[in-house]
Parts: sequence; C-alpha cells; structure tokens
Amino acid sequence: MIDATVLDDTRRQIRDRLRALPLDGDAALRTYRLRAMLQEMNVYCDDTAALQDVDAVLLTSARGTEALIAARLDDDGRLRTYARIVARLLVGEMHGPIDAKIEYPAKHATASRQEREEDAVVAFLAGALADGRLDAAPRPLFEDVPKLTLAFTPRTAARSTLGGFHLWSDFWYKRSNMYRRWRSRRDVSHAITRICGALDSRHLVAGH
Amino acid sequence: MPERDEVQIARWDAIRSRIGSGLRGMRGGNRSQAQLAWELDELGFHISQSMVSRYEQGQGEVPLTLERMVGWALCCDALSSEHLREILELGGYSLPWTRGDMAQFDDLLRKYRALSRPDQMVVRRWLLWHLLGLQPIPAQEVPV
Repeated sequence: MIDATVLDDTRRQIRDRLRALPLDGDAALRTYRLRAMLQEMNVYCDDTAALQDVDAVLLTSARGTEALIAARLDDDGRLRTYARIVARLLVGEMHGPIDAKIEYPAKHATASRQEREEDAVVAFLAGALADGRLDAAPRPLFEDVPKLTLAFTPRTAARSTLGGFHLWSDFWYKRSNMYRRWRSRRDVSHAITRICGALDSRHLVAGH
Repeated sequence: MPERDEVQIARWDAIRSRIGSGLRGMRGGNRSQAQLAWELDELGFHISQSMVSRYEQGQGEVPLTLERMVGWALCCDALSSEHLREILELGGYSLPWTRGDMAQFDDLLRKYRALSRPDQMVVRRWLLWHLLGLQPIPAQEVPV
C-alpha cells in the first residue's frame, strides 16, 4: 500500500517550501524551481516523456512517486504542468497500492463527481501557482492556519473567527466553481488578506 | 540459444505447456497475438508474434522470465487473473503484491484505456517498472 505517512509528509514539505518559493523569473526558471522542489521531495520528474495527447502523468506507489511530463510542451506549458503536479500532490487523493493521475491539456470529462471537483481545484490552484498568486487560493491549502475553537479571550476569539472563515473558504473552494472564480479575483484576495491581517497579527508579521 | 543447464532445460520442459495454457488464458479471445506482440514490443520486450504463438503452444525454448510474464499480463489487463498467479507459481516467482493490489492495477489500466495508444504505452511502461520494483530507464537509454 502507498504509505499515507509518506504522502502526508511530502504534502507538508511542499506546503512549507511553496510559501518561500521566489516568484520572479521567466517560465523556464520558475519551472526549474518547481522541478527542483519536487525532486527534493523525492518525486522523480521526467520531462522527456513521449506523451502525445496528455500533458503529464503522476504515478505513485509503494515504490515511490513519479511525474512524467510531455516533452512536446513549451516553457509556459511546462510551467503550468509542473504547477498542476504540485497542486495535485497538495490536494489530490491518491489511493494505494498504486494510483495514477492524468493531467489533460483541457478540461476533461470524468465519470465521478469527486474527480471532477478535484480536477477543478487542481486547475485553479495550479493557475494561482503558475501566475505567482498564491493569495488567490485559500490559505489552508498551502499553510497552517488558525483553527476554529472555543475561544474565550478577544485575541483567541479573533483567531478562532478567522479559523471559521478559513474552514468556510476551504469548503467552498473545493465544491463551488463560482466561489473559486470569485476567490481568484484580485480585489477579493486583497480584501481577504486585509481581513486575515486584522484578525491575526501573526499573519501580518509573516508578511502575507 | 544461451547456454543453459540440463536441469533448467528439464524443468522448463516439464512446465512449459502449462505455462502456455496460462498465457493463452490471459490473452483471452478479444486480443490477437499480433496486437499482444506489438504491445510487448512497445513495452521493451523483444517478442515477435511467432514467439507469442510458440509460447502459447508450450513450444517456447527459452524459459519465460518474470519480467515477460508480468509484461504479458499487463498487456492483457490480466494482472489479477488466476492464470498469472498459476504461471508465477509454476515458474517459482512471486511479486510483493496481494490479489487485491493486482485487481487495483487492472482497474487502473482499464480506467486509462481511453487514452491514445502512445500515452497508454507510457503509462503501462511506468506501471511495469513500479510492479517489478525497478528504477525506470529513460527511453533513449534502453539497451537494444
């Protein structure tokens, strides 16, 4: 079986690294950074795969995790595909003993609702990642956020309220296309950043 | 033919018709020998249509390796079949996967059958490496 601990660990490490990933540079440089990050997480990347129609395949089993990227892609296509692989590892469900996820160049019809929703989240999150706008996606997807708790002091109550917002945002981001589009708007993500700052002083200190 | 021990030849002679029967069972009726030979070749096995035919009739002279048996089953979506289990047992091979695991491998193969042929072959090739627990060799480095 795929060791869930290994996948969780990879996910956690990617979340940690993503926040510190520089956003400058051209598509080739940014692709290089994403690739290097994946390789560091023991995700073997081969971008010489003779894939004709699909952009990439992500394969994982007890033997390890591998990303096959189509050799035919240009720099921008490769950046977006690597971003999809990273997004897939962050939010995708991989089942043992072996699982494979296919990244299609365009929206692809899938039978199950769960897969459709996962594909949509991956597409939006990858878009945010490739555009260097992680703030366009809910923070729980890529960092630890305050939790909704029973709070008794004004400060913990504010953080708990923020935790509730995050929970709500994460829930709808994974289920609603309309919410994903709305959440990706610049004015909305700026407003949310300000709200996070007002409710959580540590958020401001962290520079988000 | 590579040099082989008499004992090895005798053992292979004793089991090859039963192995052939298992191979035929895996291929079933809806996949031609030519198609199977082509797919095996695409996976990196050097097996011609006539070799497919000979092995199925129990006339193959060289013992079938673990890699070829698994590749055969992979091309026939028969990893979870009783036929593969039997021929692996006959050959004295084993894989570190349960029957349930193998059924999931087959499900995965069926799931991505809608992909184009070249894309399917890429997925199958990598799946084979995972099944056998080998490090993948990039296509240009595969020894001919």
